[in-house]
Amino acid sequence: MNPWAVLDIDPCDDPRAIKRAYAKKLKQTRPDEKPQEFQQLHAAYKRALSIVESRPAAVPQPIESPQPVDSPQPVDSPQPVKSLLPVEELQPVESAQPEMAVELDGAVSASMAGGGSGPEESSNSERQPPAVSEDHHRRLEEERRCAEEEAEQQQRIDEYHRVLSRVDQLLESDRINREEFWRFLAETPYMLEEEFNWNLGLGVFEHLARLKLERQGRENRRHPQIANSILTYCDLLFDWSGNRGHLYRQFDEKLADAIFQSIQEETPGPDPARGLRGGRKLVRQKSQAPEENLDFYYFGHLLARAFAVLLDIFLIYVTLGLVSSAVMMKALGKTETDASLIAFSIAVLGYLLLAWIAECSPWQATPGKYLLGYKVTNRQFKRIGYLHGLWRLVSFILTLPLFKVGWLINCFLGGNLIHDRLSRSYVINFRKSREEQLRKQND
Amino acid sequence: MAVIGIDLGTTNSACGVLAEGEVTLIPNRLGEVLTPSVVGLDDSGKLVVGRTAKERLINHSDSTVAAFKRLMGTDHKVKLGRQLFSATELSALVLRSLKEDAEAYLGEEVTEAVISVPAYFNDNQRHATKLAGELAGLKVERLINEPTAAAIAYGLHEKREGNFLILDMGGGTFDVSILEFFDGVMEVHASAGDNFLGGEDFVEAMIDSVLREFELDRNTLTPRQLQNLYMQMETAKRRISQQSGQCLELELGSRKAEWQVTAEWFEKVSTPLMLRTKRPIERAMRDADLPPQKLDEVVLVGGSTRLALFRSMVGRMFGRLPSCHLDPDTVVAMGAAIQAGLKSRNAALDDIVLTDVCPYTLGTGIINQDSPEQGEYFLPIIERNTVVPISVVRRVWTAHENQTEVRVDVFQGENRLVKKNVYLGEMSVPVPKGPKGEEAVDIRYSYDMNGLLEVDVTVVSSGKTFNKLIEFTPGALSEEEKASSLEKLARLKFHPREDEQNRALIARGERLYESSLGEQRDYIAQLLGNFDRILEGQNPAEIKKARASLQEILDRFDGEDWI
Repeated sequence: MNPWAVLDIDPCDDPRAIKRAYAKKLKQTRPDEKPQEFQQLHAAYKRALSIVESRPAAVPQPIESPQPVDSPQPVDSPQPVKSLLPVEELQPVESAQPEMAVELDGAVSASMAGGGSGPEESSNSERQPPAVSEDHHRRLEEERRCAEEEAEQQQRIDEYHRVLSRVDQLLESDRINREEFWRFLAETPYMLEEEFNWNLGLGVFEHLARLKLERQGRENRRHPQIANSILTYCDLLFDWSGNRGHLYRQFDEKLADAIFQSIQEETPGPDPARGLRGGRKLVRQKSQAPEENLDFYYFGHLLARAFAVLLDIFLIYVTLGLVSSAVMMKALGKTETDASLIAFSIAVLGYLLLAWIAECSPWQATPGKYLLGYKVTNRQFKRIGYLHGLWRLVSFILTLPLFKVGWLINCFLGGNLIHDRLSRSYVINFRKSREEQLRKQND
Repeated sequence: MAVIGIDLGTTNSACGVLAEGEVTLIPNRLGEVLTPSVVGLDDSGKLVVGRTAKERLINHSDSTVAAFKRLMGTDHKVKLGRQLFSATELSALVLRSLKEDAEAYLGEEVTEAVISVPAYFNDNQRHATKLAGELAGLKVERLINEPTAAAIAYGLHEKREGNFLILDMGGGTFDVSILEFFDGVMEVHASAGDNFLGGEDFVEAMIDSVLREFELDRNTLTPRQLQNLYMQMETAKRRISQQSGQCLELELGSRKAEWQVTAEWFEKVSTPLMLRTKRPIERAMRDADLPPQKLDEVVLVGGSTRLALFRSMVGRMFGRLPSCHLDPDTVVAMGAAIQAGLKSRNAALDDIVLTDVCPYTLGTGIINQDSPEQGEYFLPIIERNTVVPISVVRRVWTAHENQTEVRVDVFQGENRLVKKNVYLGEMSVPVPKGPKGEEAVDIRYSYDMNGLLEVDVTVVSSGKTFNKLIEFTPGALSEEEKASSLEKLARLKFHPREDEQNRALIARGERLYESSLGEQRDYIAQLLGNFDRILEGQNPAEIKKARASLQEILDRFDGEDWI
């Protein structure tokens, strides 16, 4: 695709011209009216812009900044939001060298002025220009300001160590996994400052990761393993998962793995009910799994259904019946015939109860029917309600006295039996219906 | 016939209309442009919406509900009195109230609307919003993203070109959008957000902190106490920038306590939330591939951006003061109204085109043959922040021998495992039997301007196309359910419009009566009794006079309105 042709202009180096041409074209190709043409136009526009941007210095767009295109970083390192620099410096700060503090200050003020959050921004590049411009006066002023801020910086460094030592204490205590004891992290005053947050995040990350590795497989009551919820909480504060790549580069892979695997396991998911005001009660009505609608259905076969019923009764007899007959023989001293008769009637009654509940449940079938791929539905092929199911049960019992006659009639009803008709429900062979439909669609 | 633009917010809603190139915000029955998104039933079973309902939130919390926008697209229902309502139905009631206000104001029937939704609302939530419109008798012409709406309002108002970062923090959601304006084009470069981060969360955090301090559990408070605490904290939050060190008298269970609201305390409490606001901002900047220096303006939208703490944090992040020349509470409604005008091809807007992006990645689940134990992997089909409308096809192959069916699951999210993403629906497609990897299907995702998704699946060998997606949208309704829901809502009636001012005033009086003690309480009771008597007299002039004086006296009791 030639972007210039789509935009209807000659190849040029001026982004303004491209934008103008795009805007002109766009008004005839509104996205809601001509979606496909619009996509094409938009792709051409983006392409043209990227051609212009990738063209080296010959392009007349210099005034912006000395290094304009250090931003579109390749996709493999999207993370580094913050500069690495301060970290390396915070570690040796114990030996508080003044120059170091000055360096650090520079970074802070640069990010204050330049907007320290941009992902692609590195404070390195920010800091160079003032150094190059050898303005003596400005440097003096700079130094004076730095000295003023040095004290403030020292406060942050102190706070950093204070918080970390508290973290260590907590890790050794038995309150390690109680979230409320970790809240102090959020309450340190400089938490919202980019640099401080990032550095503290690294410190805490390392401490937690070391502890986690150390206690792996060796946890006990006094020294429990750190819980995932705590790690997730810290992740919320320090955004480790947003800087994953960076942390992997910073730390030993084993250390980083220890944390990230645990964070991954936890999916906190916000509670939507939080923040709701008023209302008598909040009820969760789990919406039913979507029901599949087929174009046509097959009725279940009479013999298969009889088999399913026998299977169900047999199942109940084996589980409930035998146990109860054993109990009756042992505890109540009934004779074997009596006991097995009772056991059988329990099985039959159990079947009736089971049929009612199971056929109205989301399975829509007793175990026997389920095995055969049968489902009980109403006449709209939807699941029946429990009241409807009860009526189905009653109609089944009502037709029982018909006995052999009923059986004979049922043979001619094509799977839609007397009690089905009476209770206005269907027993369908869902599996077959589905397979047939798929087959038909395939042909 | 006019198409109106509606901002359906977590805390407040508003609507507007574009006429002769000018946006007008439509006043409600109380003459105000903001209608609190609160719905309740009163003792006679009639419907109460807006300010009157908000006043009733404290002493009638059983039959009144607020902030239900958070439940949109979930299967939670709220019980009011004896009836259950879904968030969609409650939203529909707010929309109906707005619709009636608009009809009264415009003097014609209103049947179509553009409704704004948070940019980061997912498919389920968007469907729910659209459905709410339908239940209110409004054909939803378009769902517009809130920050985009705000940007439109700004763009037309300021007529400036360049790159804009819009930060929209309302009562319940936080959205970030990066836009560019040039030559009448408004192009959204990237959107990100957090659906559960807003003003209400700050209040929740404050309440949590107070209860923790007194070692109390939420359940030990009566509903009235809890609502009262909420109101006190809400008011304190609004005042925090002007006035630190306010002293509140709290009633917690059986004890009374004093609480000093200081700026330091508020900062401590809100730090975790502030940190959360940074994530979407960083992500949007990354996705838009724009260095911060190239931003021409940072615009704040939504009531919660009034927090000084938020402003200073944004100021620090970008090294400049963010701007908010337009009222952050109504700017979204203005933008929605403009979009409504755009939709109906208002001549004044002929040379403006808006392009938006989809904020989420949409994809399907695939099986990785090398590591099947991990479950299905997410195969992105439409990448996040792609310009919409868009239609993308990806081909997948069968994974098993003699497979007869391919199930296409539809997911939305950014995780590489599907189980961590939002499940939207599925479709089963028959394929001819064959060795694995032989048969293929083409999955086409089409994402429209409303942020709604359509899926087509074509079997490559037979050329057959299927598009019957079984949607799994919590809160979605079948035709019958929709009919019964409509019937349920139709049974609920508003009081006559013209009495609304009186009722709002009485509701406020009753709230003050509940919260005051001793002499003051008797005095309010007396005032309300007098007012009732005058209302019974049905003399309009007298009622008006009495209303004004009662209003004045009540204003003295709680100077700043908490609404």
